[in-house]
Amino acid sequence: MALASILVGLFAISKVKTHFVQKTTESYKAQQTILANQVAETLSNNLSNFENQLQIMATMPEVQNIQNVEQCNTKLNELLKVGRRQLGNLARVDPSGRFACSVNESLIGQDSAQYGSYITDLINDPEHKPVLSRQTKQPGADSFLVGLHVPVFEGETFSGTIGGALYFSKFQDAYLKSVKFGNGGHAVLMDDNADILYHPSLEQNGKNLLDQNIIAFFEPQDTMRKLVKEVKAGRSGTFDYSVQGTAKIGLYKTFKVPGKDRYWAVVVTIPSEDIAQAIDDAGINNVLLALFLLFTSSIALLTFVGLRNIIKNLEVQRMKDDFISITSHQLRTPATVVKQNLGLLMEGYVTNKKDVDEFIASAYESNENQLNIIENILSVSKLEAGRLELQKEKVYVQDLVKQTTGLMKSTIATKKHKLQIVMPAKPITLMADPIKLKMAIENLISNAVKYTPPRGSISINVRNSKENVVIAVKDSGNGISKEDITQIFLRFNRLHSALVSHVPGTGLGLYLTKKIVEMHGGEITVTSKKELGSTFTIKLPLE
Amino acid sequence: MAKVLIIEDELSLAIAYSFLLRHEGHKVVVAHDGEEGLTKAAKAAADLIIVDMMMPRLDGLGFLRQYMPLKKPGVKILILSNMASRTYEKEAIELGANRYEIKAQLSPPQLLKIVNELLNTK
Repeated sequence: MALASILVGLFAISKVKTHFVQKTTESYKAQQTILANQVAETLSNNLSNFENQLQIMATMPEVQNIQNVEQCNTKLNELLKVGRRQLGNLARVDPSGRFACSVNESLIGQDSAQYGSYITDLINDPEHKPVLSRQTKQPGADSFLVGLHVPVFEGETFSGTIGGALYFSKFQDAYLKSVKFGNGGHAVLMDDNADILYHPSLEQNGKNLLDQNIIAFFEPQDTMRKLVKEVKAGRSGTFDYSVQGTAKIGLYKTFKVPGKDRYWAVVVTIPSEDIAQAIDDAGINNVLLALFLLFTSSIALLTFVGLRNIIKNLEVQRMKDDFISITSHQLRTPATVVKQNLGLLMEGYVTNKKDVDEFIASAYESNENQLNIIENILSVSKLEAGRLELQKEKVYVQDLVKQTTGLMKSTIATKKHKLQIVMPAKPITLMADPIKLKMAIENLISNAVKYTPPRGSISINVRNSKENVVIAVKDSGNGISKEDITQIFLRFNRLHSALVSHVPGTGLGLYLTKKIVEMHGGEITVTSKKELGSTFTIKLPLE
Repeated sequence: MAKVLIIEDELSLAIAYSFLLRHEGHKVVVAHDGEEGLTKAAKAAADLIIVDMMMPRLDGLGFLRQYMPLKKPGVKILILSNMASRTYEKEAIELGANRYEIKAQLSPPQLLKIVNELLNTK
C-alpha cells in the first residue's frame, strides 16, 4: 500500500516536474523570440526605408533623365548628402546595364554585371522588381555592403535603375550587437543565399553557412541545410543543435526584404545551459528537493504534502521580489511623514506651540514605526537563518502592554480611537524575552491602530490563570475575510494582496509574532468578522 | 485660493499636507481612502485632488477609473505615491492624472510649487 502510494506520488511529481520544465522552457523561448522578432522588425524597417528612398529618387526628373551625366552626378551627390548615413555609392544604370552616372565616377560607362548579376536580373525581369544583391566586401574595407536597385520609369517606359549600397557596419552595431540574448547567446543575420551578413565574431562575416567547413561544425550535420531551406521559404521557428558538444537552441525569425521572394533571417543561438539556469532560477531545485523528500519517506501523506510544498516553494521567489517592492514602499511611508513634519517645522510653517508639539510627536512616532518595520525584517531574516534566540528574564506583562500603547498614543489621539485597557491590578510576571515579546504585542496593537478607522475602538484585555496569561487585542476595523484568515500568519502572505489591492502591509509582522509566541511555548489565535473587527489573542504559559 | 481634496490613508501625512495647504490659504478636504474620496469629490467641487495610490477599500487607480468619467473640466489630479513604479505612473497618467510624484522625494516647498503649477495651468 505504502509502496503503491510512493509510486503514485512519484508519478505525480514527475508529471509536475516535466510540466514545470516544459512551461519554463516554453516561456524562456517565447521571451527570446519576442526579442529576435523586434530585431528582425527593426532591420526590415531599415531596408524598407532604404527601398522607399530609392523609389522616391527614381521619380525625380534629374535622375530619370540620364542624358546629362554631369547633372545626374550632381543630383546623386546631393541625394547622398541628405540620405541616411548607411547609404552609399548611389548610381544610375541605363536599360542596357551600363552605369550611366554615379557618385563613384570611375564606374561610369562600365557594365554593371561585373558587380554581380543583380542589376541585370532587374533589367531582365519583365516586371522589373527591385533587387537586392548578395553581400559584397568593398576592397580594402572591413565593412560589408548590400546593393539595392529599383527600376526607373519615364512615363511607362523602363529607363534602367537607380540604386546604391547599404553599409552594414553602420547599423549592425546598433541593432544586432547591442541586443543581449540569454547569458551566452548572440544573434546572427543571414540571407537566403546562406551568406552571413553579421556575426558577432567578425571573421565569420561574409562566410557562407553551406560551406563544407561550416556545416561540419554543427551536430546534426544537416542543421544548416535545414535552416537555409526554412529561410528561403520565409518560415520562422526554432531548432536544437550542438556545437563541439555544447547543446544550444536556435531561434530564427525570417523577414521579407526588397526583391522578389527574398528573405533574411535573424538567427539567435543560446546555450541550452542558459535555459537550465532559467529553470533553476524559477525553482526547479525545489522540485528536486521535494522528489528527494518523497524518496526518503514511505508515508502516502507525504505525497500530498510534497506536492503542496513544491507549489508553495515555487511561489517563494516571486514573493521575495514582491517583498522588496512592498517593504521599500512600507519604509518610505513613515519616512515621508518624518520628512514632511520636519520640513514644516524647519521651513517655519508651524509656529503655534501646540502644533509644533504635535508635529514632533507624530514624526517621532513615525520614526518608531519605521524602526519597528526594520526590526521585523531583521528578526525574520534571523528566524529564517535559525539565529533568532530568546534572552529570557523576568517580565512584567502589564508594563510591557503600557509601554507599547504609549508608543502609539499620538496616532491613537489623532485617529480619535477609543482605547480601553483592562488588566488585573496584581502584576503578572513570566520568564520571557522582553524585547521580542514587546515586538509581538506591538505588532498586534499597531495593526489594530492601522486597520481601525478614525473614531473606532481598540480594547486590550489581559487576564491570567494559574497556568497561562492571555493578552487579547480587539479592534473595530474592517475585519478579515474567511479566505484571508487562514493565510495571515504565513510569511509574506500579505504581499500579494498588498500588490493587487494596494492595501498596505508587509505581511511580516504577524508571521513574526506567531513565531515569537511559539518560541515562548504559547499560541496565537484570531477571530474576525468582516466589517466588525478582529480579535488577536496570545496565550503564554506561566512557568 | 483654491479648494483641494486630499485622499490619503496615512493620517499623519494627510494632516501634514492639509496643514501646509491651509497655511497657503487653500481650503482643504480630506478623505482616507478611494471610496470616501469618491463621495467627497462629488460634493467638494475641488480645484485639485491629491490622490495616494495604495489605500484600503479603493486604491488610487480604482478611484481614477471611477472618478474620471464624472470629473468636471479644469479639475487637476496630482498623484502622490511612494510606489516608484513606471507601470503605475503610466496607468495613472493614461487614466487622466496630470502628474505623478513620489511623495518621499518632496519637501513641503517642493510640494507647494507643484500644487501651484497645477492650479495655475488651464
